[in-house]
Amino acid sequence: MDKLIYKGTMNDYRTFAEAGITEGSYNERAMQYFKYLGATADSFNEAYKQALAGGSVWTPLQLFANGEQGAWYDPSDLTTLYQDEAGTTPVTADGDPVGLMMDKSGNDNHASQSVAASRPIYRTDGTLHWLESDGVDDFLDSVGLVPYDGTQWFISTAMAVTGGGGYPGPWRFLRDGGSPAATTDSLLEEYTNSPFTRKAVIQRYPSIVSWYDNSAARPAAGENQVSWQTQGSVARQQVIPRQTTISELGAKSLTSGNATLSLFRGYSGQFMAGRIYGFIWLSRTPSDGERDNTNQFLMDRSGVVV
Amino acid sequence: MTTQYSQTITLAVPEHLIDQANHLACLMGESAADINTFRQATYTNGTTAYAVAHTVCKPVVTDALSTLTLPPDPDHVPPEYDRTQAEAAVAAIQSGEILVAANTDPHEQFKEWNLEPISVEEELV
Repeated sequence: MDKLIYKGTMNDYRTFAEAGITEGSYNERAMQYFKYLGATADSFNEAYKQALAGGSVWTPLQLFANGEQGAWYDPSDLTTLYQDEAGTTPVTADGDPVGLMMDKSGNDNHASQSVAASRPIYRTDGTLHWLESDGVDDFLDSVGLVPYDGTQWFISTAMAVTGGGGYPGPWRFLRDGGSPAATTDSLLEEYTNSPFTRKAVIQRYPSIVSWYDNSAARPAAGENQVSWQTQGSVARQQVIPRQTTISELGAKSLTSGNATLSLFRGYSGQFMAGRIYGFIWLSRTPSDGERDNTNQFLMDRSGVVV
Repeated sequence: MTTQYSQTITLAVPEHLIDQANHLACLMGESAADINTFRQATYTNGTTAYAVAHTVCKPVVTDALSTLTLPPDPDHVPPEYDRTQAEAAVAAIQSGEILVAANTDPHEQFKEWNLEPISVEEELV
């Protein structure tokens, strides 16, 4: 059997299709899983067995293996980045604008920007890869509304706020369709980097509700960090590496519904000057193992070492 | 591989010239959606509110704005596009009403133009 290598190549899916391996042969989710593996068509049977047995390669795609709603954005996978909203011109070089970032969760919740001047840019130092926004007008929004369960959700991001005159936060990650310039548009906000201490996650709709974080630790400007929050029976939050303990927060639920995932937006129309190395939104509560795998994956993507 | 977007440009447009600037952005841009480049005024110098933009761009854009010579209308312009509006925006650049700078840090440039973000009060939560 060929060695399985995580390469993130979208074309492998087509390879399987051309080899006559169809969705009728294997379930659709398995096929979506394998489009991210470097397995050849000949090794597909063995690789499929490995995947069913738990596999040796963990990717966030496994969070969505049972059809869960959500999104996974991965700037390190150039096959998912396009310069234009229509997805006709691929991103190929450091400095190219990004008008479309495809969702790797299998849910087609792609993020896009139609206005050329408002597109973040793709950056790489040869090892790490990220989208960089200017803090003036850059942002990406999911193309359509994303259904979510307000009582069971998980968000994990790898990012760095660069400061230097840009808005310091909080960030709006989930919008409910109001005016982008109004706080009423913010369904879920993230206060990790904000100057307002003791706040981790804020719900603004239908009423303003806060989950309070007991740690005052905040990432320094320019520091790469992984931040996650999850809402289950108890809401929990952690910032890696600055905050070493997991904060137990008062459990409060969002109202389930549909919303727009948003990257690089401030909570009332401002824009974030910073970097995003990865972003995962899941409409269920993950197990501790899944959460740790997700955070480790994003730590690797952002070069965070604890 | 090297990006073709080797330049950056920063613009500040007085609120009353947003429409004209959007027609110019559409002419210099890459799709019909660029007619929505400037949405709302978010900066002020104390007397005038400005809509701002900053972006990477190809040298053809900075060349055109430095010479104030507009290229022919591209195929992507939408029906509502009006070249005379774009030309009015160019005139506003010439008169100094619309502020333009190439290859500068946008936040430092805003300070140089004496522009500050229009503050939004934090809600108590």
